[in-house]
Amino acid sequence: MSVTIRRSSELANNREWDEWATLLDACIYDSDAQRNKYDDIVTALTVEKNSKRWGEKSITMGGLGDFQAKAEGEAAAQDTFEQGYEKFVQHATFANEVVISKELKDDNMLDDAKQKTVNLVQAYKRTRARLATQAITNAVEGTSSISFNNATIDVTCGDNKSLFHSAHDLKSISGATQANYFSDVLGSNTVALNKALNKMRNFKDDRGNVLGFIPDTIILPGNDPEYEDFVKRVIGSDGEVGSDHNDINTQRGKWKLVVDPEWTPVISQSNHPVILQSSEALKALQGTKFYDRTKLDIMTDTDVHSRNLTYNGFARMSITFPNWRHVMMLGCSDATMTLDTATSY
Amino acid sequence: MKEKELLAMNLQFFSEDAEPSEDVGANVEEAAEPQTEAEEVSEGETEETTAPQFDTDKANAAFAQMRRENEALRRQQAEINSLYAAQFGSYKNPETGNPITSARDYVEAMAAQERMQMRQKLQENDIDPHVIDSMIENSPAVREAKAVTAELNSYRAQQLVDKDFSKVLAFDKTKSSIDDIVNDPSYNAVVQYVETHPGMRFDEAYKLVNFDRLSSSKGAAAKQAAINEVKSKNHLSTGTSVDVDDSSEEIPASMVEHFKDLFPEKSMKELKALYNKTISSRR
Repeated sequence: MSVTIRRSSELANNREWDEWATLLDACIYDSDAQRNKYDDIVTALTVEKNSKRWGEKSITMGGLGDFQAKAEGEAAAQDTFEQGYEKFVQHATFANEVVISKELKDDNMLDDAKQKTVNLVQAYKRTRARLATQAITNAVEGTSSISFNNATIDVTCGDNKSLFHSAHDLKSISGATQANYFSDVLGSNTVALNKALNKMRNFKDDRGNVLGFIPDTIILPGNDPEYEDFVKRVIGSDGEVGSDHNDINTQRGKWKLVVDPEWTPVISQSNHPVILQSSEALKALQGTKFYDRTKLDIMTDTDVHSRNLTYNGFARMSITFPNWRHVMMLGCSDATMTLDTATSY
Repeated sequence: MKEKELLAMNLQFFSEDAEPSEDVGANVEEAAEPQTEAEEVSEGETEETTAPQFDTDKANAAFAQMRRENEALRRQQAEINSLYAAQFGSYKNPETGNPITSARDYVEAMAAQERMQMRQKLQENDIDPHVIDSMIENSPAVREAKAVTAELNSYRAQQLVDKDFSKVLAFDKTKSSIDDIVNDPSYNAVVQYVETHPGMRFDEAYKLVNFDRLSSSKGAAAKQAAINEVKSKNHLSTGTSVDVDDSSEEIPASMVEHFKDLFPEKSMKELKALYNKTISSRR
């Protein structure tokens, strides 16, 4: 990250706070430079981008059709790129503030003051991770927007359907739909995982061409230890899990596991949500974009009335889903489709 | 003939076209014995050892002395020029309109002023100044003076060329004489380079044309220095991986202990780097 700290002119000439402000600024820079779990979550779930505008519009573009046969001497049939759905997002502004009291300074409670300023940085990083997590995990069929820290976040894709949906439209093929939202629970074997892998491989673009992306990341909620254990066995065991046939485990070593502590759904017998994601498709299709319009920008100042030192944090960011073909959600009891019943148009 | 009656004469005094008499030759043979080692070497080798050698140390010392003298002269001249510029800087050469910035400018301005006054007087007396100019131009005394000036210029040019050759001999150790430089395959290219680049000195052009050859010897030296560096004991040093610019600011004494308390896991180098990042990054 790259935090910006600004000092007011009053603080720059304030001998009372000058040394402490320098020390606490150093704490902020140091904390900002330490990559933590929140940064990892955002990096795993999204494509991080910087923005220099008030909002960003994303457009998907279909590929060319196949080469067509032609008779000798005839001109080639001219093909055109076909634009898919477009998606616009406007950045939201988030802010926070901490105060270091004069009493804290007079009592030389430097460690406590450090904790406050470091927490400001951590709160910013956590806000990013929570925004990414909540926008993705709540973008299920029936939900078009969520409320996040008083901001309204659009969680639909270009086809105006939520990220995880049983009937995503294909723009160029009328009436055709595809699903990436299923009720199948992974369980303790590889059956559902294999079916899900095959389902994503056969996702088609808006023109009907098979994309062939294979999921390689399993994202689990932070509150489902039973299934976390299942998944670790399924993706890490040498032999087939739960079988005494000495068969090889076809999924071993093919997956990256991300346990997101910010994702805490209601877990029940029939509800064990899991997200499968293709990191290759995430980048190729720019499926989930996280925009940093203004990274953490801190203004420091002193209050002449209270004589306290204030750290005011400001940031602008957004998340959007130009595409849905890089992810699928399994194990949701609310889903109407199963991996077996869902048809790819 | 008795030996004491023989003339002890140096063989070098006898040139090839002066045929020595038989007696004299016999005397010389006796006087020359025994032969020295230098005389026993082959003809080619003898020519090589008797070729003129260039003493680099003496030449460098001489050139250094010349440089010092030149610098002293330049300084002295600069002082004089600054005095003239301070005194007459507000005046201009009536012919060129340029301000007077040196003693030479002052003299030229005075001469120009005299010429203008002279022309003005001639015109007042109905005499064409061009006729006078032509008479002066064709007078024998002026012609002789011009010839002397041309010869002096030629002499000075030769001195400059010799100086440039000396510089070449100083940095190109493979050359020991001016003939070596002239016979070098690159000589024509160097001369052509000088002719096509006005103001370019011969030694500078020589460096450019022979850059690859001259730098390869330095490159070899640098390579050896790198090998020596690797073989040295520098790898035994116990520094941290943080690269702190030596010119960066030290942490003020009043804050050092606070920094140590806040970041107990960091070394002093890391603390210094963090302090400098803090004071340089914030706005």
